[in-house]
This record gives sequence, C-alpha cells and structure tokens, in this order.
Amino acid sequence: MTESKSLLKIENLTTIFSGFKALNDVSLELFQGQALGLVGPNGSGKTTLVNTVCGLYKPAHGHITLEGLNITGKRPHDIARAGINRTFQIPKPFRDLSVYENVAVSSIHSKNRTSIPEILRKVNLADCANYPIEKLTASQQKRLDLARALALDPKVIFVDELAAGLTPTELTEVAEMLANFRQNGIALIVVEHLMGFLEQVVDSVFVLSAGKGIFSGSLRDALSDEEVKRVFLGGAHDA
Amino acid sequence: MPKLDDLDLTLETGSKGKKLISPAIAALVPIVAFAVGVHLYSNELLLTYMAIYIALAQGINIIYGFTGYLPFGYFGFFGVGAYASGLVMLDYNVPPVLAVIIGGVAGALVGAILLPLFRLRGAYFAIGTLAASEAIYTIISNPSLQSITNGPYGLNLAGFYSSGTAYGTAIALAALSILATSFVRSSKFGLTLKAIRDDSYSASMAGVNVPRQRFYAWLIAAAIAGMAGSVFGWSTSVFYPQAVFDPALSVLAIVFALFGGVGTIWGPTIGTVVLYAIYNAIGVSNPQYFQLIYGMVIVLLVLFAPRGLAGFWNYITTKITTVRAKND
Repeated sequence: MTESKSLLKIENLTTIFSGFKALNDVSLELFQGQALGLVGPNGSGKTTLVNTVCGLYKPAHGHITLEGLNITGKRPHDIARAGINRTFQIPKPFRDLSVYENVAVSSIHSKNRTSIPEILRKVNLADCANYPIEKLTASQQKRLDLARALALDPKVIFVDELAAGLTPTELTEVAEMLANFRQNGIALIVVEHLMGFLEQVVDSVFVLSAGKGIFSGSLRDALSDEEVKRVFLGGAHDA
Repeated sequence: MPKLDDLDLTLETGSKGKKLISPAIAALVPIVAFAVGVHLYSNELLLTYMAIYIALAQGINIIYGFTGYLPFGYFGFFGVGAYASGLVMLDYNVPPVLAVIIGGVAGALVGAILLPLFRLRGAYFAIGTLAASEAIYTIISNPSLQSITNGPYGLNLAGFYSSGTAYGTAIALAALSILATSFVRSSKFGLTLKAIRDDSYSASMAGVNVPRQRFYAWLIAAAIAGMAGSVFGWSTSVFYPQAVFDPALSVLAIVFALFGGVGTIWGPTIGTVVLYAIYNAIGVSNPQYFQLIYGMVIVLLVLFAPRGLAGFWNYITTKITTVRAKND
C-alpha cells in the first residue's frame, strides 16, 4: 500500500446556505490508498462536505483539486468521470433497473471500462446480477452503490455511513472489501458514526464541528483530544 | 437466466439479431394493420388521425416514460410542425413529404429553444411547457403577423392534398415513432434515461451527463410531434391555429400513453388504438354521454391499472408464472 501520492486536496472550502456557513474554511488532503475517517456530530457538515466535493453544491470559497486538476464547482458527472465517487447514506439504486443494469449505467460512461461481472464479484453481488432492486437487502443495496462507484474507475470514494444497520458479519465483510479497494490504490473518505468500524478501516480521522475542521490525526489521538471530547460528549457548540 | 459473464458480453456486443427483430416487428404490425384497416373501415381520415396519435403517444412515451418529465405543452411542437410544413409548402412549394421532415426539424428547434424549461421539475415543468406553447400559439395567431403566418385565419393546404400519400405518411410516421421508442428502450441511451428518471443526481454520479441525455430525448420527442403536426395539417387541408395548438392534443396523447403503459414499446400504440376507437365510438353513438363515459374509463384505468395495460399484463403473467412455479 502506498500513501505517498497526493490525490485530493481541499483548501479553505466554504459552503453557504442562505447566509448560513454549513462548511467554514475546511482544508484537508488525501493520499493514494489512504482511508480517512470523516467524523462529527449530526449537523457538523460531513454530508455537506461530501456533496460539495461531489458537485451537488457549489462552494462559496475555496479550491478542490484532484491530482492537481482543479475540479471546484464542476458538474457532478465531470467530477465522477474525473475519479471522485460516493455512496449514499440511504442507498440510491436505480429502482427500475436490475443489479447488473445499475452497474452498467456507470460502466458505459467510464473512460476505462472494467468488466461488470468483475466489479460485482468485488462487492459480493455476483449472485444477484439479475435481481430487481426490491430483492436486495439494505446491505446489498449499499454494496451496489459501491459497485456503481467502482465501475467509473475511481481514485477517491466517499463512503457515507456504509456500516449503519449492518450485522457484525456484514461489517467484517465490508471492512475487508474496503481494505481491498485501498490495496488497489483507491483512497477512501469514510463518513461514519460507528467508532469500532472506523478503527478497523481508517488510518486517520478528520473531525468536523459546526462546519469547521477541529481535528486531524489518528483516531486514538482524536478520542483523547479535549475539543473533540467536548463536541461529542456535549457542551457549547462554539468551535 | 443468463450467466453473469454472458450478460457482460451482451452489453458489450449486443444481441444484434434480437435488437433488430423486435423493433422491426413492433413497427411492421401497425403498418400492416393500417394498410389492411383502410380496406375494412372506410373512414381514412380517422385512421390517419389514429396513426398521428400513435406517434404523439410514442413521443410522450420517450420524454415522460423514459425521463419522467411530463410536458403538458407538448401540443406546441405539434402546432409548430403544422405551421412550419404548411408555410414551406405554400411559400416555397416544397413537396409535402419533405415538408413533414421540415416540420419535424422545426419542432426539434423549438424544443432546443425551450431547453431552459428543464430547470423546472414535476408540475412546474408541466405547467411551464403549457405556458410556452400557449405563448407560441399567441404569437402565431397574432393578426399583426398575418403576412407571415396568416394570423388567426389558419392555412389552406387543399392544393397539396393527396389522401393516399398523406395516409401512407401518417402510417410511416407511426412506425418511425415506434422504431424510435424501440431504439431508446433497447439501447444504452435508454438505460441511461431510465437511470435519470429514477434519480438524476445518482445518475450524474454514475457519470451521466444528465442535461445532455435529457436534451436528446426531448429533441426526439419534439421532432416526432412536429412531424405529427405536419401530417395533421396536410391531411386536414385547412386548419386554424386553435386546432393545431389545442391543449387537448397533449391531454389525449398523455392519456393514450398512460393507458397503454409508458416505458414500453407496445403500450402507447395499443393504448391509442383502444382509447381512440372508444373515443370515436362514444362520440358518434352517444355524444351526450361522451364525457361521462370517457371520464369513467380513465378513472377505472387509474384505479385498477395505474401502470397501464402493459403493467396489468405484466402483473397477470407474473401471477401465472408464480402459480405454475408453485405447482411444479
């Protein structure tokens, strides 16, 4: 696993909704094969950060670069094709398409087409290729989100609350899957509330509170940081 | 059920035989039916209108059935097509069949101009298209434009009328619209449109250029309506602006498409044939009860077959398959 090459660089990112700063001057850097946990209490701006980097929201200030290429404010499909993708907190499969067709939509828009069966095997959905979406469990739907992301040959994947609602066996399976992605050079930003799962998956964490980055470092250090403890265990939201 | 790796091969190369045969049959059936039908039922104009409505319902099918955008103002393209083709026939003596193609191009051009409407969604989009089409109607029927469009007095194409050719062109248009739907349904383009219909943001994260793909579908639908309006104007010979810019055209096309089942190849065609036949039968036999009976048919459709005849058919066949599987 290599962690030398800088992939994603977010500098002074600010996103404003009707005067409210949902993201306030956030900066972070992600390297090839790195897994970064993105944590923070509800409303801290985690999903806003994902949505802004992935092009759903336009940032008011700041820059986002992927391998030096400026992708700030680009349209979602340009960002996806450039190599940044995501999963969704509540999975968003194309409900009228089969599992295979869901992945095919991404695959036919990919610059470097990977075999769809290969992708389905990577996320343990090979046996469900012909299934309609309603036959999939919540865990399988989340893995389908991952499969669609993989079909675009991503460099970075935002994994949004993948672990929520999964059984311990499924959690282990997902953790192994994410480790495999990293070994193939994909960097991950894992948005997660389950600290046990994060510990298995990430090298470091970035903590958000009220739209601001308040900590960057190892999960162990984060858990002993006074400000992080105050944000998670209660107290004034003045960060 | 195909094996996983065979599925991949199908996407890569396409089972071209199947891809060609199925649309060919779907297009040939109405051609044969209309060709035979005119010998069994002498009202050729009614059959011409039925073919025109098949095309309109298929146009609605492409834009609504595959992208989820419902254009109440779809009649605007119909009117633009009727006027564009009529004017080039009258002013430049263009042959009618070529004028029909020009009508389709005019419909597509207006579609391109109205593209900003896609900033709207749901009911706002539907109403936006309605307002745009009413605006076009107001411009074309304006007395101050009489020197160009003949204003409120419409166009007289009687000099170009040729019943057999107009009828043949209407059938060809119906077949073409079915072929267009078949192409959309069986292609990667169609797969992409269905993804957009399900969730446009998810589709964009799948690398889909959503505005561009939706634009293509919109252009195809607009061109079909433009050609349909052209054939209507030509086969009607004399028409007024309110006849070709009639919101009822949109309503009927939408109802026909929904009745048959949107997102399918056969649905809008069967829906048009059944409902247009009922529409005319009631209109002739019991005109006093026309709206009551027709309204009841639509209410029953919404209550018992919300996904149209095609959805109902799928429901029945799935039930039969399930029962058979249980018995085995």
